[in-house]
Amino acid sequence: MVFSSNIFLFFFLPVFLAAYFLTPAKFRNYTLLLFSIVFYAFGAPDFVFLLIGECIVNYYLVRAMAKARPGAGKKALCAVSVILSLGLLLYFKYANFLVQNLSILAGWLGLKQLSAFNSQLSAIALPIGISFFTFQSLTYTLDVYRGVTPPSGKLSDYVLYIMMFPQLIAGPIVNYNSVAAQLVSRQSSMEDRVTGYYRFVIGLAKKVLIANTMAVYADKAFALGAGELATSSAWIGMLAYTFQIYFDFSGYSDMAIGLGKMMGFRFPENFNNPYTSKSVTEFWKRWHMTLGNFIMNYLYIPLGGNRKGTGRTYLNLWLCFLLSGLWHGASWNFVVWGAFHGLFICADKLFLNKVLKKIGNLSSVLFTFLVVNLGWVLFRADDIVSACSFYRALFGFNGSHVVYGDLLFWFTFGVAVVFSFLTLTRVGQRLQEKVFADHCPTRRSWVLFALSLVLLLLSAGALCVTDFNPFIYFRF
Amino acid sequence: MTLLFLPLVQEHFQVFQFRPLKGVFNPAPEPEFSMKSYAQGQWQEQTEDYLGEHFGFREPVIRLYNQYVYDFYNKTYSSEISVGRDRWLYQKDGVTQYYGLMGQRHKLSNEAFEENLAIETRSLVKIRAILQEYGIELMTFTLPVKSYVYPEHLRPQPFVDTLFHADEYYDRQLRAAGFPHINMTPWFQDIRDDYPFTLFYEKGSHWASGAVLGTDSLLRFMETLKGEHFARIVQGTPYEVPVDQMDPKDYDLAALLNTIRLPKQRMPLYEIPVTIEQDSNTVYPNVLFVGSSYYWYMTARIPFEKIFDNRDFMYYNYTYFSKDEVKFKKMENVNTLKELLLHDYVVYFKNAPQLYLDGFSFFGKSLIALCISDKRFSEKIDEVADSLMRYQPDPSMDSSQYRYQAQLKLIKNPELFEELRGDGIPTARNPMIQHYLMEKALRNDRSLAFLVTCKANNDSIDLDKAFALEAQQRLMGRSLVSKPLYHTTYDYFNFLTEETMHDLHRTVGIDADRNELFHLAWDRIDSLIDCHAYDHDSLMLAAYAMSQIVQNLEYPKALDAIRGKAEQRQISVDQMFRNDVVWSYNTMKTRPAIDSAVLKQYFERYKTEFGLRLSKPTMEKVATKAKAENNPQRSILDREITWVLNNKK
Repeated sequence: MVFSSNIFLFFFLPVFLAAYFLTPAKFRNYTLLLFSIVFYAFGAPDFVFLLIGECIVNYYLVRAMAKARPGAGKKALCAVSVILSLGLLLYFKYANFLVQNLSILAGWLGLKQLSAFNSQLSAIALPIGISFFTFQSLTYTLDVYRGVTPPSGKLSDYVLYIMMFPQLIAGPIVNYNSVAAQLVSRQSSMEDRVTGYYRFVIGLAKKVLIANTMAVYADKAFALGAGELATSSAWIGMLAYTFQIYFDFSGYSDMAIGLGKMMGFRFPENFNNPYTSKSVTEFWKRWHMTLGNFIMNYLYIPLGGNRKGTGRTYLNLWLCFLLSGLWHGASWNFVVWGAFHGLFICADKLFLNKVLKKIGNLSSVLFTFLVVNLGWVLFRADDIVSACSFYRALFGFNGSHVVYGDLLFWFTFGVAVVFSFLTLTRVGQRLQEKVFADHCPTRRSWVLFALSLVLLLLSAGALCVTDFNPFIYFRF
Repeated sequence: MTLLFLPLVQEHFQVFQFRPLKGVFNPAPEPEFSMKSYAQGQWQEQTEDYLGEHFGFREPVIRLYNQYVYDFYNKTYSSEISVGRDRWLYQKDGVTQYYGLMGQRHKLSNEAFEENLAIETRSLVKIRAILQEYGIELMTFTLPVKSYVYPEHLRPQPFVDTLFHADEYYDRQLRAAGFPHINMTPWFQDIRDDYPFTLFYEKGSHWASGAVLGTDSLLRFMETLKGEHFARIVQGTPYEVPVDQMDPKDYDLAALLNTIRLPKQRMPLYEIPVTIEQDSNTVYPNVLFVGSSYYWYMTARIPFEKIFDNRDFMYYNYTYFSKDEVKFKKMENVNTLKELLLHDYVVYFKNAPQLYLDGFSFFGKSLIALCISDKRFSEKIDEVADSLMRYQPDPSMDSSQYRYQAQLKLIKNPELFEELRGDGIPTARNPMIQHYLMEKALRNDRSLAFLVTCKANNDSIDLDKAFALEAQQRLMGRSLVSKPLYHTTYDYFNFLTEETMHDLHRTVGIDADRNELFHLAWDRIDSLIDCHAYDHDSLMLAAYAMSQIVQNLEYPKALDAIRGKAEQRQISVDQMFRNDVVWSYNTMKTRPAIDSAVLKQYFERYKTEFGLRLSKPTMEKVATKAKAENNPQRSILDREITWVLNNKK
């Protein structure tokens, strides 16, 4: 069940909100937990007990770790907890990838028996949201270990932290210490509920009205084989995907943040106009910010950060982005995508930042946007070979297959461009501040209410029409 | 947030009633929970689909969004519709075919598409040759397509270097084979500018006034096949149709947009009025139409009942209509061989956008039905199913599914039968052909057909079954209806009325509806009785004799005897009554002589009985009474007739 579905919007969410707000405040966590379990069990029946089990084991492990005296015992418990969380992620997400690659390697080395091993293994299904809840679980263990936060006093609160449905599937990645207090006690005013609802609807519209429209064109462009796609269509296809992924992911984060706000949670922001970045380094401070923070705090700094010399700094950065790429998906194109970004991060530090500063703001925004776009090709393509053929279409000028976009596509494309770069202007910045403000004066509230109603109706309509596709007469 | 609750409230209490959405779709089934379906995710999928179709305000929300995209972006999400320039609507398949992209859309390579069409044309040539042996003509009639006739409103499509214009290929193939075939598209392209109005409505998928021109051409072409002379369609002066008086079928694409308000037709709408002219040489053919819904647009504009003696319509491979009434809801129940042979002409509608559909099974089924016996067909299905099981195994399929797949393969390509391969006309014939030809002969002979109808009525069996039984008997040199044993004056006058109606309509050329013709026929019979026209009619005498016997058997004593015999032989009183009537008639030594006055009296009884039979409650009352009194129904009905006639006086 995704947020942008009729079943969520018109059944799960209203029933949940009714149940949640009718429950006395001190029991609301139980209601939220119950609905979160139902939410996860609906989409991943095979894994719900695994997830709950992992939460319970980890909860007691961390409690024991917190009680243990500093030393080998504490470290060991911390290691067990980390291995448990990472182990599940490695097994479910990377085992197939690992076996596949080992098998190819064995084939190259002439080890036929090992090479055939891959085909004998059945594919391992991936529990939804595993990348996100694993990281949340890690932040909890490591924060408690470092003494940043005390362990949760209640098992149900900890399970709720991991399984809370608004951010369970696609983030934002919430540090335990940032919501620990809210888990115990939180207030949600009428203003919170209203602004949370607006945020949710804006996120829904970003996903349904913009990202889904961009996806139609992008899918067509990326589906065409090498040599077929016209260069113009390849560029538009790449741009369409660039906007698709941004409005899809940021829309989902907006929905999660909005839902959380309705209940009194303050989830961290995940996006801050990433396409207005003036360098790839800045891009990563604006794109999927909670992942950036996680990598910074739990990977880059423990690896030594910039404290162990220039060479090691670059290596650390490089490694962080390689792993970040791999976190996005168990495939070589994600690894290359991570390396590609890592390369530009290092280049920024070496010389590129100085060059970009010299060429001016607009040029550096455009340059960064171009680099990010080219990176998305690796991200979107099915594999490295497909990505290479797409690059050939971008720069080869020899394809003949034009993908036509309709008027809705071009209009949405324009809207996506405007909203992606709006904050480059002062007017845009002020507008964003007003729309996403925590406080909402009555007059503005009416405008937002009307806007949210229109967006909700259009989003619901868009969701329905894609499922409703009747024929004039029976098909034969 | 209250907004989010409203759909739940509406769904539960149905506070508002909304217009249902237009179009044909398969509703999502209600989810059935089981641990297995839940673990496999099927229950969740079904629940999402089901609830996605069942939430409050779904209809207006869909309509609102469709209106928004249509008004602002000239777009629709219907996969069937393409919005063209100037808001012309086209059926998407028509546009795809116009641009030669049909094969690509249906993932069919050009070679495979060509091969399919080649199999179809070869099969059609064979079917035609075989049908001609039995005096039946087969022709194809390629319908005009809006996107071809009015392409100036189409939006450009992507250029692909693998274009395949299947319609042109198909046309060439048929012409090369010398197959009787007319293609309306080029003709419509030529004449479209001769008319100050469009031959297709801008918001509809089918032809509009163009249907009149198309039907006229079809009839003229059919006449050349056997040199027969059909009724003439005389076109009147075209008249403008107010938008609010349009037939919804004519703007089917606009309706399918499912917008809040129906998009308006911008061009003026015209219809061509028609009258039918016939003369004493007019032949009224018996035609089987096969294919597209364009047929309905013809029957909506032209009175087919005045042109064809009988007309059946195989709506693709889906439903079988006889004179616009559903005869078989599913084509599985249709006997293709019988239906082919019972007609004089078979008109196979072709439509360029549907060429990828393998002739909706028509040519495959027909060729197999004509040449292959049921036994051989069944054996071949087994053979193909075996080969599928061996070479394309699918663990999810059982043997019956393999057989079904095998059957589909054979119908798609009848050349999988060795005896149907090559360009030559197959020599093999289905042994049932003679049976259906005999049945056709029976149906075409009005007197014999009437006798069979009487037998079916008397024996309470299906008319088709009665014809089949009689045909079977006749092939063995016997007959069940050689003597008019089951006649009563009611049956006789019924027959006479039908014949007189037919005569008035076809020979005298009276253009009236059935009800009017009925009364005209009765007036004519009345006057002919006065003129002693039926005094020496042997059928009439037999019918009169039978009626006399029926009345004699109604005496209490005779009825008691019949009840006793029925009980003894363990048959119904009605059955025993009928048996006695037949026996009495057969043992009569002299037939009674009747005069006009008696005949007139019996005609009055017939008219009264006819009226009584039209009343369902009366007939139910008769049946109940017959059961309660343990009397034959005929006896009770006669009593009712007498009572009505006495009260009239």
